[in-house]
Amino acid sequence: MILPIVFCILIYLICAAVILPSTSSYLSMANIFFSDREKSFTKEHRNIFVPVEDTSETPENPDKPDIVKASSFVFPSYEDQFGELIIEDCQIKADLYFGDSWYVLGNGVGIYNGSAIPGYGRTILIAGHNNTYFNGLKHAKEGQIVKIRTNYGNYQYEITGTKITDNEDRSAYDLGKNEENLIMYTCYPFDTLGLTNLRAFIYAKYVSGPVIDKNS
Amino acid sequence: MKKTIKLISIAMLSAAVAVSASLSVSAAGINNAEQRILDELRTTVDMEGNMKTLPVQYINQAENYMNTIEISDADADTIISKIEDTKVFLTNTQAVKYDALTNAQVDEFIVRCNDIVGVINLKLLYDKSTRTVTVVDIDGNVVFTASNVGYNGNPYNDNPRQHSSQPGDDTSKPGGDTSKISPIDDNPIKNTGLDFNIPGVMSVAGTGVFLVSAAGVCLIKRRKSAVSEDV
Repeated sequence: MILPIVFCILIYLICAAVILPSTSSYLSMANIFFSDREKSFTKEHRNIFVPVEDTSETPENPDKPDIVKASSFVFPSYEDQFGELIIEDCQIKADLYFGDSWYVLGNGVGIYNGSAIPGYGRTILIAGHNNTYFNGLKHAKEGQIVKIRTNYGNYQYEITGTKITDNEDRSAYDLGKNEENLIMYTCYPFDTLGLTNLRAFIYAKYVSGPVIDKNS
Repeated sequence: MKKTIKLISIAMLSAAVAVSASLSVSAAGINNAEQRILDELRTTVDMEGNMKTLPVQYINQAENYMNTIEISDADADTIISKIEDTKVFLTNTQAVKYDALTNAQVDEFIVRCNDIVGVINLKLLYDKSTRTVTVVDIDGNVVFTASNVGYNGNPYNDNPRQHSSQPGDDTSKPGGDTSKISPIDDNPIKNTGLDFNIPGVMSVAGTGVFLVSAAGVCLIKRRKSAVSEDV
């Protein structure tokens, strides 16, 4: 009678230790079912996102954006939820976090904390899972509008291009650029089952939104 | 040696974060004191002619953190002074890169970095399994994070123009063996292809295996009973 139990445990351990790593594709497929689970806030995170009045679609003077003082709002800390990202043409609407940890990517999309937040005048690098929040990037096309709403202002960016490249390709982004630009990326192919070294980068240029005055 | 290299990496990263941190008062953008620190972080370290700079993503992290705190001029002076001392120390080691520091030099280097971190009450965590460095404040909030650190132990960029693989390098110096030069470590691009509930999948897989096994046992029993009836 012990033999079947031992056999059962043995098989299970084999599955866990040997087969599991080589069956990531099937696990990803399983994710299609599991990814719709309730958001698991297994640890506390700070949500500082309070939408501000949306004037980004009709800016008073598009050539002269509003200025927002850095001291006038709560600057997001790591893993803070401080906004949302919307691309209507791609059916994307996701909570926006500062930081791109596994926790963040399990609950929304995240700005790499080694890049910048919207309005800072630098590169904004946003990551999202290809089988959940950024799956819609497969529909991204030049000219589409990306909306980012934050706790200090609303922004619009226009998609300018896409690039499929290796995740080690350092030329795909420039984190030292002193010009407001948005880069979103996710794993490629978009519907791939399992890990991949390829990334789809979606580039967008700044259209509207308040500029942060860093020195005030 | 690998352990030493990892320690160097951790210490350097902690120094980068430490200089950007202070007791939180209020978020007020980047003041003059903080700007001076950022400028200092952007300077190079001369290691036997090899100019090293911090990767821009680390400096950006420091700047982002500074946007959440207020650093005084006095704190900035202390921090900058400590960085300068550490840079002089590194230059005097006569190593061409961080990987080439001796164990004793590494020990001293870590002491120096810990001195900076200790002043501002930050805590550095290093996860060996994921090679991730995380720095947290006294409340446990993450201040800085860097993944894939420790592979080569060098958090600094090599200046291509003065890289030790350039002609004329003195390979007799510590670390002068250019075949050991490692690539840049931290990659800002994350794995974005998997998002599944591991415990959930494991539970389902375990249940499946259990059911199959149970079915197998039942089948065997039935066959045995059938055989015994035939006999």
